[in-house]
Amino acid sequence: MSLIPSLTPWLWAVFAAVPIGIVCLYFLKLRRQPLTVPSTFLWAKTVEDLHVNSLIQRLRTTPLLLLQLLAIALAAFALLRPGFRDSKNSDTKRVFLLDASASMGATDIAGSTNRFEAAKRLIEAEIDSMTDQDVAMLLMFSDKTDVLQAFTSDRRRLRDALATAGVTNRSTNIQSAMRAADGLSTERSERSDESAQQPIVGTEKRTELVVYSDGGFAALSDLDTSHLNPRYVRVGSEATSNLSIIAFSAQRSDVKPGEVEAFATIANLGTVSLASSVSLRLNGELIDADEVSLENGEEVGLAFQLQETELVRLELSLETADELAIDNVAYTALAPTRTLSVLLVTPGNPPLEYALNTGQAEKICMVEVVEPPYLDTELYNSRSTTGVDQLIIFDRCSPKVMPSVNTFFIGAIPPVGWAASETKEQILLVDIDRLHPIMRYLDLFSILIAEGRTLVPPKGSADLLIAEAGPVLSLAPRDGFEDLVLGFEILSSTADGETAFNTDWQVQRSWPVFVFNAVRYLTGTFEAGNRGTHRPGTVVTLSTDHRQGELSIRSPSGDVTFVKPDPTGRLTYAVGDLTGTYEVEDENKVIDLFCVNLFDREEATLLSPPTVQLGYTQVASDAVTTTSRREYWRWSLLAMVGVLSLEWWYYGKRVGI
Amino acid sequence: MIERESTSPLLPPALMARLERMEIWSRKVFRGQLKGERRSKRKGQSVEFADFRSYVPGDDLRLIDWNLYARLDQLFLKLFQEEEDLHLHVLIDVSESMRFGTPRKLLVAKQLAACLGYVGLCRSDRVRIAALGELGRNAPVLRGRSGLFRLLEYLNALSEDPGRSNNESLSEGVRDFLIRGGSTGIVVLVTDLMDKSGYEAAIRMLVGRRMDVFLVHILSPEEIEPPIRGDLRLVDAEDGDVTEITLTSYALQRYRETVRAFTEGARRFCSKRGVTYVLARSDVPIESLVTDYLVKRGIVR
Repeated sequence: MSLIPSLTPWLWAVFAAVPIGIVCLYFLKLRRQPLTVPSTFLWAKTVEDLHVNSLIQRLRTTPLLLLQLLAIALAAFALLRPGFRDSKNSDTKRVFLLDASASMGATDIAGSTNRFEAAKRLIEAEIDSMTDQDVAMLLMFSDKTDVLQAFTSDRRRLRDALATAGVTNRSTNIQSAMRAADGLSTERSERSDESAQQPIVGTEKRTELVVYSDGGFAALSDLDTSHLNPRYVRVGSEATSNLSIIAFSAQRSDVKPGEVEAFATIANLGTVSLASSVSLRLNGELIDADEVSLENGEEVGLAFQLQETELVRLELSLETADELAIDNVAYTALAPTRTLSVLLVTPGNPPLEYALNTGQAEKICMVEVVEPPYLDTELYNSRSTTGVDQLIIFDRCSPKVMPSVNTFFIGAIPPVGWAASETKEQILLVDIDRLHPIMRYLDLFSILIAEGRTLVPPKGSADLLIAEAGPVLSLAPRDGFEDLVLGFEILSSTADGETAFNTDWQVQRSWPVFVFNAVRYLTGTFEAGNRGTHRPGTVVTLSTDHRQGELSIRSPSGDVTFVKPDPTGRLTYAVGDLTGTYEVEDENKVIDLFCVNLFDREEATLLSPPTVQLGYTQVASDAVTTTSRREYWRWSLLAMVGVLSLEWWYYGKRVGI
Repeated sequence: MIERESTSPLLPPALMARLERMEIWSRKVFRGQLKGERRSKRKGQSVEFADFRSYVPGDDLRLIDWNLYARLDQLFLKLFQEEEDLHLHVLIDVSESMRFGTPRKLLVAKQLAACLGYVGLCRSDRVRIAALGELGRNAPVLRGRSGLFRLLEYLNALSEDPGRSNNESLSEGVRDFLIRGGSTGIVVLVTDLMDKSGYEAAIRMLVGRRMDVFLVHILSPEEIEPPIRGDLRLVDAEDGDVTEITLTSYALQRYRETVRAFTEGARRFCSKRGVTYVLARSDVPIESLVTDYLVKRGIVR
């Protein structure tokens, strides 16, 4: 039998005062009222504790006191938590791997708040069953792995570490958790084996790896877990009900200016058919609603149209009480449109200027046209370093020093890092990177190019347009900026000072589209519409116009974090577990928005498989989830209640209540 | 217990008239000292024939039955009953415990003694009312109605107020009485039997002297049904002994059982030894006590 004291020494001291107090109270009994009687002769025969004047005599005649002390002793025994350990757990080294991913927040476990709490209780029972010789480690994993407690035999520390664990809204990455468990346990083994060079087979106990999870992760087959003894404790059920928003986005309508379109995908990832109403809120106000009814496995797309406002903060919610709540609400937002400044340095290029002044382009940028000699002025120097402009287009000219903004070179190459071939005639295009945003909607194979140069861009560049001899349009990163270089001119200057068209691109339909795409991409407005969504726990990178000072980011809970953008105007922010709309503010003015959503089909699928693949072995779930330590404190408490009842009965008999 | 000044006289006049018609009834025949109204064991000179016996020289010739001599030619003496007085002793326990109750047990005991004494005086008996212990040593021996005044005087001298007694034990008191010449006769012992050393020795002594013993056991209503409750420290009035008790209904029930067992035990003890036991509550009026209780028990008739 082993005992696990439930109280700290200090509390035991307080507890010890209780029986002492009872004995004291007994001897300092209430003051009795004196009364003279003819004779105590008859009373003496009535009262059994007559003539008590010594301790022994008192104790001999005080079953009440003895019963009370016995009750206290039983209570103390119960507090010591007596129990016998079952012999079935013989592994003395254990790693508890606790799944804290979003799916563990499902409420399909009867008697527990969610799966995570149920798993915690199971681990607690395991910890209770440990003996002083057992060591255990506690790891919690979601998309990353936390070591809550390294190997220890101190059950209190394990319990404390377990108490701090909470479920997250993140995805599952069992692989990193397994590797961590593997690494941490073998590291210890190796260290212990250092003295004995050859490990003695059979004496080194395998580490038992107990995974408390709902099994909502991909099969893990490429991990050697031979020296781990994996055990899978399934926390979850095979019958689930979950209606999940797996996608939600919004964008400003290209067709109808002033309108915003929102799209959502809702899937039934449970095992029963579900119906729910869907409500859409714009900046907190209900503006639209719909109904969905889905068989299990089905999914449906919903589209909403709404009037554009300065700030678009959309919240889509399912009014259903399914087993996972986090995927019932989704957020998306549209940041306010920014007016961008583009500097065009050209000796004169009407087709380019026309393309920059189309209706679409005008909406997003303001173009200032200057002649190449402007590059030598002081004004340009300060302008190029402080980032007044979001984009500088160099047409047939190049600066001496690259400016601290994104650039677009036409018929010229940047002064550093780039090279170009000799001018060749009759450039024939052979390939386009259609997937790149700049090249979207373009059909360029019909254009004619009189002469041009193929480019040798720096490392890490993307070739967007490739001619026979090599790339003629490349995009290359540079210290946080990007340079787009076009190898041929649009408008050329002839030897006699005349200007002549070098290509017929400017008369084709793709020209303004290309210019618009390039400006949108390079000014960052490509993503200005929908900032996209981020998973909880990820790091968000935002580009802003601010290069100095601090910006504040307000989380959905209202917490404000101050972030300083880097000199290029980019800022990084690690989002927590909270889903919702995050606002980037500059002195209380919202300048940008981004959203955090789960949008994880794997996490939202709550179905819990009976077996999982852990390493090379297929591990079936542990059917036995009971504690292996048999505890008897309940019986002790029951006996105490019995003794108290007896004491009460005896007292009642004496007092005659 | 509640103390109240007693106002009732020892002998109510109405009761005296009834008492005059009564007499003390003895189950035994004793030898008296003087001529009286009671049949004696002695053969004497009354008019009532008792027996014949053969003449022996020295007998009074006046007693010879000459008619028988004429008929049988033998000398026989004709004997007659002798009538002598009866010795009545009324012993009153005056220990501290007797000074309790409402009315006080001692008062009832005194009233009872006065009544019995008066009956005895009316029948020309030799009456001695005595308190047990020191106070009993100067108790007068009375005879004839004229002794009533002294009797009452003696009784009135016995104070009922608490704290005036020497708390002699029952057996000590009886022994003292017997040593000082308690002649055989009727003994009425009026006591509450509250003696930690036991009452048995006292009764045994009286029975051993061939007394016709009557025991009047007086208990106050407060002793039979205590009107008290709660956590008490009971102090013995006689020896200051302390008993701590939490008086509850259960404890009271136990007490009542103890009282019952005590009186039953006394009754049994007495009946085994031919002692008449009378349990008298101190709140019973003296009239009914004497004319009803004592008549039923055969002390008086």
